[in-house]
Parts: sequence; C-alpha cells; structure tokens
Amino acid sequence: MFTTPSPDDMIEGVIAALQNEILPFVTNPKAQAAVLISQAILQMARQSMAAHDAQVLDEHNSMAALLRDVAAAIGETTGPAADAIRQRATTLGAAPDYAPLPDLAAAAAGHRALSQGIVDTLIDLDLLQRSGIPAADQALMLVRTHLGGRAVRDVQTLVVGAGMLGRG
Amino acid sequence: MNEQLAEFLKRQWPDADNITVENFEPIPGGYSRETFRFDARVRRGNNEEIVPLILRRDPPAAVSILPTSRQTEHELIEAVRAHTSIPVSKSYGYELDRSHFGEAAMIIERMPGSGLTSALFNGGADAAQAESVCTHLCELIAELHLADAEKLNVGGKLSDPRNVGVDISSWDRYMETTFEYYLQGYHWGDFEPLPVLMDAYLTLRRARPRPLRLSLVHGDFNPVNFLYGDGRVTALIDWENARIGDPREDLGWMQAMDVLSNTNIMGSVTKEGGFLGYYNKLTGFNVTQEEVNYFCLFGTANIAVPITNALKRRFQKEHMELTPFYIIQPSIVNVLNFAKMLGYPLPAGV
Repeated sequence: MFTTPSPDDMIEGVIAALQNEILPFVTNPKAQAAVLISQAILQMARQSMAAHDAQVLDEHNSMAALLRDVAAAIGETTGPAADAIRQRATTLGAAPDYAPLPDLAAAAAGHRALSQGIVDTLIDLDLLQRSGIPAADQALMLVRTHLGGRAVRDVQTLVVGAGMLGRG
Repeated sequence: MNEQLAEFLKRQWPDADNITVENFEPIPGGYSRETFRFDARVRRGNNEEIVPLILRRDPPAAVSILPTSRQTEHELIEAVRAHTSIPVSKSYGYELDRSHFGEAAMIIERMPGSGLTSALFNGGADAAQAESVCTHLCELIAELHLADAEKLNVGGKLSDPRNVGVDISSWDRYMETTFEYYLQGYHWGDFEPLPVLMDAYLTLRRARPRPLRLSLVHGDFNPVNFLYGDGRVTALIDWENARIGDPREDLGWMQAMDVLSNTNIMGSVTKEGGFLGYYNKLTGFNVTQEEVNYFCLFGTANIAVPITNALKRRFQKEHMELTPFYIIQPSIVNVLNFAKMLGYPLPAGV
C-alpha cells in the first residue's frame, strides 16, 4: 500500500482540480453550484475520514457505558419502563469495549521507514550478488516474495477499470 | 489563439497573401504535450487551400512530465523526412518564446489516417487491416533502426536529450551511464520508497544482454503512436522522446505497452514467424525474445524516471494539477508488471 498519496491527498487533489481545472470553464449557473456543492461534500468526506473510525469506536464504548449508567441511576425503581432500562443495560449496554485505534499517522511513518529499509536492503543485496555471494540470491527471493504480494494487493485495491483514458 | 497561429504561419509562408485559422480545438488524450487541431486557410493570388495542422505545445514547466525541446523534435522529424521513407508529419517550425503561444510550441502537418488504433484489435471495426498495418509498422521501425543515426542526430542533440550524463560513445558506456541515470533518478522520484523499482534498476544493471549497435530509437514506440489507413501506417507520431539508444528498447516498450493497451501489435504479424522474426529478417539483428523481455523492463524504467519525478513534484504540492493522481493507476499496474518480469513469486492466477 502507498502511504503517499493518501486517500486524503487524493480527495484534496480533486477539490483543487474542481476549482482550477473545471470551474473556470463551467458557464451554467446550476452547474457552477453543483461544482461548489461537490467541493463541499468532498471536504466533508475529508473531515469525516480524519475522525470517523476513532469517533465511531469512542461513541460505541461511551453509549454502552451510558446505558449501564442510566440503569444504575434509576436504582430500584419499579415498573415496565424501569425494567426495560435495566434489561437494555444487560444487552446493548453489555457490549464489550473496542480498543482505541492506534496512531495511524505514526503507523504510516513506520511503514515508510520499513519500506525504505527494504530499498536499502536491495542495494546491499546487489553488492553481495555482484561479489558472487550465492546466499544473496536466496535472500533476494525472500524480499521479492514479500514485494510481489504487495504489488498484487495494490492492483486489486487501487486500480479502477482497465486501460488509460485518452490512449487510442 | 487563431491570430497568433496565423501570424506564425505568415512568417513561415511569406509568399501567402492571406492566412486565416479555423476550427481550432484541443485533441484530448496524451499526457506530455498539449495538442490542438486546426485548419489554415491560405490564399496565394487566386488560389486558396486548406492546410490541416496541429499545434503541439509544452505544458507549464511545473506540471511537465517529460521536459523535451520542440526545436529538437522539429529538427528530428525533418531529418527523418529527409533521410528515410518513414511517413512523418512535416514540421512547419517551432516557437520557443512563451509569449507567443503561452509555452514553447511547434506546428506540424495533420497527417491523414485514423489514430483510433484500438479499432484494429479485439474484433474492432478495422480488424481486417491489423495484419497489414502491423507488418508495415514493423518495416518502419526496422527502417528507423537501420537508418544512419548520425544524419538523424542533428547537432548531437539526441545523444543525451535529457541532459543527464548519458554517454553514447559505445554500447557499454551507454548502458552504464543510463543505469547511473536510473539510480540517480530513483531519488528524484521517490515520493514513497519504491522497492520494486529499485530492484528493477539493480537487476537490469546486473544482467545486461549482448551489445548491439546503437541507433536512433523512437523512444515511445507504442500502440497509439501511429496513424493508419487502407492497411498501411500513414504516420509515425510523437517523436519527443526519440534519442540514440539500443534499438531493442523500442521493441521492449512496444511489448510492454501492447499488454497495457490491450492491443496485439506484435502478435498480428505473420511474416517470417511474427513481428520479431520479420524484424530480424529486415535488420539482421537476431534479437531474441529474452532480449525483448529485458528491454521491456529497461524501456519501462526509462519512462519511470520522469514519471515518478513528476508524481513527486505534485505530491510535494509544487503544483495542484490532478493528472498525476490518475497516472498513479498505470504506475501501480507497472509495478506488478515489473514484478512479473523480474520473476517474483506471485500468487497463483496472477
């Protein structure tokens, strides 16, 4: 997986292109408004992506705790409504907490550092191969096995459709 | 733009009494130069003719993927016209002063023929022409590779057109200095660590094929860079990446792009056992399939350097054009192609 460009970089790129490459050539007022709305929605997607997963997990855990707290707050109150609250605390409120997300920016930086380590390893293996060290061939195959799997997954994950626009 | 074009043409054709420009419109597609089609209505005395033309203009420097010279391209295609029978658009001149067309530009003849080469394959409308067109294409690239490179290399500008230290004094020096360029170029384009690309460059350097005499190579010989009609190639186009190099580079790049474009140029020739057999018959170069595979990777590396450099400039926000994000797509596919060509162990079915 590429860490650069990130999904956020790509959406930001589309917002800029709408402004610089599309909007100046749109003359219909309704279409102009549609471009501006599209930019706003894309910006909303950027902001959502930055917070979405962490907030979903946090709110999941908070709501489960809330249901338990509400049941505790009504104490020994009797009646169907109070029974329903206590029941809810033992079902929905009993959902186990999700672990908080790790720092994804740090993980991406670590990913990048490790990928650079593989590049440096390839350079060192090249020196060994050119020195006639047979073990370097085997070591290179280990690296290639790892990289091959990544290359396949990148195509499956990132490539849209077939062929290139504007070519023949 | 019409007035600037007419003014330029009046300088080229001082005998014309009047020149007006009509039907100016952009030609979509292409990722390096901006191209526009237009007609010049030229009156000389009582005679009036319509000249079909194309404006090829540089993109702004910040967004340029492959910086090349319109002057060099002009001189090359005029040399190709003068010294070979390869059909090439006549170039009517170039303008390097950006104040005229916005960026450096050249004006060339708009050649007859279809550029919709995908219609030749996969049951397309022109599939019946595929064999004869591709056979002719093979003849043309063989002719280019056999041509006197000194006559085509006007002023020596194609010895190292990217000015990156390539030395064409011998095949060995050419290869060695090209690898130095690739390895240095890796760092110009490492917007992200790109281990498969580094592996490709190092492997190419370790496993060189036999030497072959250097030739003028087209440099972007691919399934969309020609026009055709009536079973013949009517023009070889887009010469901006031409240079002195190993002729097998053109064969390797065509093989790579044939796959990427879902075309079948190299499989459509039946003479002498196929494209490579016919090419060898015409040139006497005895190129093997293994050598084509090697130069498939070599040629892809050659274009990877400027492309990754362009991507890095965008991702570092030197400009905000959208296209580099799209170019990521074929780049990802090419990484997998590199992996296949290098013999990576891949999951079954890939």
